[in-house]
Amino acid sequence: MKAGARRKEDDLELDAARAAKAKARSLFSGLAKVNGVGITRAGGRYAVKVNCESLNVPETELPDEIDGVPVVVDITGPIRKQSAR
Amino acid sequence: MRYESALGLKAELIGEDLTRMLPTRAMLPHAAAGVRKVSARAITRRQLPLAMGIVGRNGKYRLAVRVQRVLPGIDAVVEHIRRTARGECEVRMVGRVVKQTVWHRSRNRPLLIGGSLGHVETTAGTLGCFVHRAGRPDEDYLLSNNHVLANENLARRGDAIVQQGPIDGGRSPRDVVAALDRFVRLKARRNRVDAALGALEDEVEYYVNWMESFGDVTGVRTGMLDEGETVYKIGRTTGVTRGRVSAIEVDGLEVEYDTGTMEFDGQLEIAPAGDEPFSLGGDSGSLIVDDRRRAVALLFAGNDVDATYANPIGAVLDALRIVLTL
Repeated sequence: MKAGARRKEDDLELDAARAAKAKARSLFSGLAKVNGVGITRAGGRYAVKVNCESLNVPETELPDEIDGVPVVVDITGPIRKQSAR
Repeated sequence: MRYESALGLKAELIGEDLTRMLPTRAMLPHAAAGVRKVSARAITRRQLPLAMGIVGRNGKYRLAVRVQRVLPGIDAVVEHIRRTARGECEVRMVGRVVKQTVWHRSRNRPLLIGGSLGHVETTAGTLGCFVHRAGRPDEDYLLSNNHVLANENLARRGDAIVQQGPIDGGRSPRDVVAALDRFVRLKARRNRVDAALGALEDEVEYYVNWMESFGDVTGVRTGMLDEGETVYKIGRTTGVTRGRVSAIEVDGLEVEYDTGTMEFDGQLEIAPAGDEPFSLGGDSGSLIVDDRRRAVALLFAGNDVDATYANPIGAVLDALRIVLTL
């Protein structure tokens, strides 16, 4: 398979992850201080990645999927520009 | 590991005489510079050029190891610490020797991708690459971030850009290599890029698309960049590092600047490939390439540990209406 070849299933999965990403921020509001929602993979599937500066509830109480799309929670802390300090 | 475990581990390692792991000559002053003749007294003043701390949050902590000077045998000491910590440690190179000697913090003529660079009123970031306007290959520009070249919108067109950056000793007029040209204004929300151009001074030469330690940049990646792909960069602070794409299409990313918090959409997230961060302060503006040395993104932010953020290169080129000089 050529490097650029993609499977149709992958693109369908990616679309589902994009749709779930749009919902993630409102679902997580109040549960965590979210800083960035993106797309990653979990167990070979596209997943939503929710980056948090901090959590307001135990991690176990956070959604682990949105409309069937897996959710990966990461604690990234604050993000700063990276000029020399 | 738990905080108490990290504390215990740190105490245990500090209690050991780690200097015994180094060959005697490594402990002599100036060993790194190759000086061999020293007095016997100097040998007794042993101090390991290494500091240990604890990093982490929310019950997940690890040992932070900061190596201040590279000495023969230091690798063995770091490896011993890694083993004792069962891998739960983060090792970084810091310190003055590194600062003074590495090429990416020094003066580079011809200019090099990855070198220290900045507006005269900033600290320093990194020279990303060389570009020109479509159809105008006779014009030479360098590409980096707005916050590196345009001081977060505060600079004016024509302002001096120095290489190396001011924090590395660059001064105007001696070290001026470019004048601020166009930049994409940073705003509170809906940013896609943190990017600016410097118009190269006439007499300043540069290595067109050479990435030291890698080779030529071969072009611009057009196909989708996916999670898990390996990427590389050369930056002013951490030099050459390897990372892995940990997320794509990151929206709602709030980045702290000196002038306030700016929110970005459509960003790329990169995790380190090993224990050391993919980027630190000073690496802003670095060009990120894939494993075929195709440009993929422009680095601009991070958490200094395990997350780096970058603007997809297509968005940068579009916003400034430029192409890579290859």
